Amino acid sequence: MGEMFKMGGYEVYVWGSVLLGVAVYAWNLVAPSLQRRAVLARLAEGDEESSGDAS
Amino acid sequence: MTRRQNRMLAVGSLIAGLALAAWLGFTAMSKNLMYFYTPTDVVSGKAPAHAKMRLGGLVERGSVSRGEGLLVSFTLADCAQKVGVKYEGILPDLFREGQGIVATGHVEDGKFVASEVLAKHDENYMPPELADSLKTEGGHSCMPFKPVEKPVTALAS
Amino acid sequence: MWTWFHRLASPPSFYRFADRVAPWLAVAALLLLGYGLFAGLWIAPKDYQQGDAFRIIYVHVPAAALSLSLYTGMAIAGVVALIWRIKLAECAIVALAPIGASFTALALVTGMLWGKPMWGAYWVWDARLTSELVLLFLYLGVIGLDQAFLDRRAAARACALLAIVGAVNVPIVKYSVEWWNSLHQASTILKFGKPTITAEMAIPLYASLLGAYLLAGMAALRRMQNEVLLRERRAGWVRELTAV
Repeated sequence: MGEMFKMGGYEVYVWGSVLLGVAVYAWNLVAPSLQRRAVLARLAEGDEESSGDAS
Repeated sequence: MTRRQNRMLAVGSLIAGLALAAWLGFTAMSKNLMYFYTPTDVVSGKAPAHAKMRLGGLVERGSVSRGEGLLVSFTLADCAQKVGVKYEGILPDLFREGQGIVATGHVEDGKFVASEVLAKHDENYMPPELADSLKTEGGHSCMPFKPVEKPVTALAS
Repeated sequence: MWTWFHRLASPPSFYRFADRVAPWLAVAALLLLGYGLFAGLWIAPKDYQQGDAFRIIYVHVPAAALSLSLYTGMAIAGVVALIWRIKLAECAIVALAPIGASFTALALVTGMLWGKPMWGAYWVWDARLTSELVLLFLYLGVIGLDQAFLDRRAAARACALLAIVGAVNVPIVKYSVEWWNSLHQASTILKFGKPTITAEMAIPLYASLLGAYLLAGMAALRRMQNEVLLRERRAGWVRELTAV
């Protein structure tokens, strides 16, 4: 098991990439819901004039 | 013509125009988009004579000889020609005989004096046991090292 | 066929359709990505030339594939939006841009983390790396353009135009490694003939690829829903939905 974490000496690069990958996956999973919350909040305010830049 | 057909025509001509512009652009700039020259270019005199440039090819088997300290010399080959290379410095982990590499440097007395060596690995992935049984000797194909001066289409034949 | 298409393209039915589909996409994506990463990092054998460093492929290749697919989708949505003026296509353009940008950035950064130990350099200006960087700027351009307009339809049309113009870059990225000399390797999986990766390494890769596509699909549906809500906020069905 410990061997596997060392990745033959390339652990910084391999695990660094995996960490970034998981972060981007997680962001794509969560960000749309956060955007939804922001949109709903604006609709609740009855903000009729200006329109969206929530992204 | 309906308004939709009008828009279709507009978008269609936009796309056609872009494609044409892109095609013309590439034909004109194709040489500049080449990342490195090959031994064939150096031997035929098509590569810059003394200016700094990059040279890509395969490290020829049995050609690597190490000198004092980090000094190393080897022969780089593409599908047709070869050029001797001298280099002093740290080599990438993947450097080995039969490996593709790209060296930065300049030509001096028919030899290439490199200041940087990068490894160019190929697109094959397999476990070591399989590689051993295939007896490819870890040798890579010379095909990715395309002479800059030859049109790309001529390579396919 | 066309009545079905028109019904799905109407905002309220799209909204309900996305509500039904998105959770399943998320679950399938997480299962596939979990398996792909686990099998790629622990079970797949190490590579004959790159050793364990090759495992970066399980993050890098799905991200790179999505960076091109999402841009292609965005450009197609752009054509549909400009010619047929379909609202959902307009929503799709602005929904796909941030997703595509995130995967393009991931492809670039994991590529750098792969380049350093294998090539010997984080970055080189060869045709593949340079055109992929241009792709990131195109995505950021679409996002910026979208935010520069207050009117949603005007924003979508401007974005559609930029998406279509930028589409010339997609084949350049894809074929850069064949047309020109590059430091980057040629394609391993997306090519004709025999794949150049053994099955025990390839299966986790295909799982990660599919998982990443499903995840991006889920994010796209959700973001399109948000855009629909914003545009249709005066419509009865949105008022009903948000009144609760």
